[in-house]
Amino acid sequence: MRWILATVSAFFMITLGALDVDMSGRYENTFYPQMYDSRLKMTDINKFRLDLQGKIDERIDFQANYNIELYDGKTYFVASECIPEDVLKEYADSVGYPHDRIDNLYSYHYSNSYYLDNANLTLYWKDFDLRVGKQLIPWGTGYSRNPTDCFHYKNILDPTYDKRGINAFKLGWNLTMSTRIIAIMSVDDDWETSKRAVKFSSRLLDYDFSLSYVRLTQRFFGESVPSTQITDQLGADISGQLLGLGIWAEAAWRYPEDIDCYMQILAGTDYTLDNGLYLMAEYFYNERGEDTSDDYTFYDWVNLLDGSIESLGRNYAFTMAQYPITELMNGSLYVLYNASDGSAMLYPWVDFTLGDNIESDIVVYLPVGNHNSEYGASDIGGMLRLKVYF
Amino acid sequence: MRYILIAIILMTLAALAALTPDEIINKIDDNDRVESSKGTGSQTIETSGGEMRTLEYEMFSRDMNDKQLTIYTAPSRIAGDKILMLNDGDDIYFYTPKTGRDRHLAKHARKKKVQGSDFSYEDMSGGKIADKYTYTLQGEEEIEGRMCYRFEMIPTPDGPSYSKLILWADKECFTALQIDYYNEDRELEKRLHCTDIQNINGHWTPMKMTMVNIREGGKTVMETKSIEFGVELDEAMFTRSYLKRK
Repeated sequence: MRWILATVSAFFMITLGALDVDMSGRYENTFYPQMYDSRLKMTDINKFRLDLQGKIDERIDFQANYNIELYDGKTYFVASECIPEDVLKEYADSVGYPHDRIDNLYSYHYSNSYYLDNANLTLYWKDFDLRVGKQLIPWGTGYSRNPTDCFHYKNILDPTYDKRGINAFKLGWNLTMSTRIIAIMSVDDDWETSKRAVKFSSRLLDYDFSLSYVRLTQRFFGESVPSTQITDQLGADISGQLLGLGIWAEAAWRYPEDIDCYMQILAGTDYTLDNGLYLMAEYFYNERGEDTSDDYTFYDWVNLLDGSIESLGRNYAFTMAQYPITELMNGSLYVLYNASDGSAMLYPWVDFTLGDNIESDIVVYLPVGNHNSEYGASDIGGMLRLKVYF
Repeated sequence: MRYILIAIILMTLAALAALTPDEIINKIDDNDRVESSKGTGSQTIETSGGEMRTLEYEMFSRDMNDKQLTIYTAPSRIAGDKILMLNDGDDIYFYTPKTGRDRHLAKHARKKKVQGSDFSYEDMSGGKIADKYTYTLQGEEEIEGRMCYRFEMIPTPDGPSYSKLILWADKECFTALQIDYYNEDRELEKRLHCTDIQNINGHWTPMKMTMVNIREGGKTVMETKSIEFGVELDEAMFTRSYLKRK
């Protein structure tokens, strides 16, 4: 048995070597302390990611990463830890559910996971390329949110963190050096529920822009709407500069088959002062959001926690100020403000490199607002992350 | 009388032989701007606190440095990050495989440090001196034992964000040996030393460039490990869609 294993391993290594495969990866530990009901709860995640990428020849390349995520500490969350109690009681009353069991109305559990991600093969021709497999399709110009990106979930409190790839066929056609059309099909149970998308991107008057169409399946939890909606989405985005400021905007118009159409718009700007202070601001409008926290329902919260909707409120502002404290350390202050319910999340963030291949992030999450509001519903928390690359 | 006449003739010939400031700047540009290039290099950053970080990269350029592509290869933390500069550095895209996104840097972001080094994006962009600066020849001075032309260069409104640069260019090689960068408060901010000048395919090339951060302390040493000029590079390499290739 040992000989077979050794032979297989040797064959694997020789094959990788012959194919010019690069192997890299990282280990990271993320520690989340969080106050719940005046008690400090803690979750700790160990993640190991192994990346492989290589070229079979000039026209074919491939990549894949394998991930192991191990969760410790608090990994099981009940309804009262995620949703305001008033909302739970109101819902329980409406369906005749006993108050002493409202914690059973909703729960989620972080479980250890082992998965292959971003495993894809790309073929290149003169003007075309085809990528097949799990891949990132990062659409949109926004930093905090991307209304046009219906492929990935983005955590607004950690927007640049890894996103899971989606299984898709993506065909790209380069019409000119700056003009490109891509067609995507993301595989689901059948043709009707599979995501299909077309995007045209180009450059005009020093602005990069794109127009897109997606047919997608949206899944909602709720009693008044069907749980699944076939939706047509029209999208557009643009980025460039105006009067020395960086500017970008992104909009999506969604037309679900059985509920009212709605739009989401994001607009942003940034500037770097001479002393190195970087400032950014984004405004986000979600027509499907509510005007006040009084209108947030149990199902709104469940959909938010599940990632089925992007926000509870209608109007949001996101600001960021980042200053290079030293060559290897940045200090940032992020403020996420829900103008519809008056709540906010302030999160000072320090990132620094401890060595050529070691990065660290320290964040404190400071919620502001009443207990029924989007951000005021949570308590003070934080994140400490250490990443080691190899 | 005959000696005076000879002296006048010699002075006139010398004046005719001397290069005008425009001609000197053109020669510096001609030396710097190459049809295409391909190479590898490293950046060693020494912070003001004395810590060291070393980055390695591949670099490509074509169309007289109008298009430049830098691909970081080490350390693993930044491997795969790419910087694409088009239109002589007027358009800069930064791509990182961590997010799979490329970002167009607005003009204000060009003064930001590249990967924490003492070089900013605008320091690394191409372009003709005459297109980005107005310049005055201030005389000749010796730098590192070499006679140099000394130029004061004031950025044009669309040029870099510095208030001025002082450039010392070697009188024989027409390559910069030292550049002083003054910030918008007219203080000396950084000084670039170019050393180990080698003639590669007829172009005098500094194999080592040291940017010393006078104001903040620290320095970055950029060393060229290999370089080839006049190589054939596909124009498609210098596009946004190429940034997402492995």
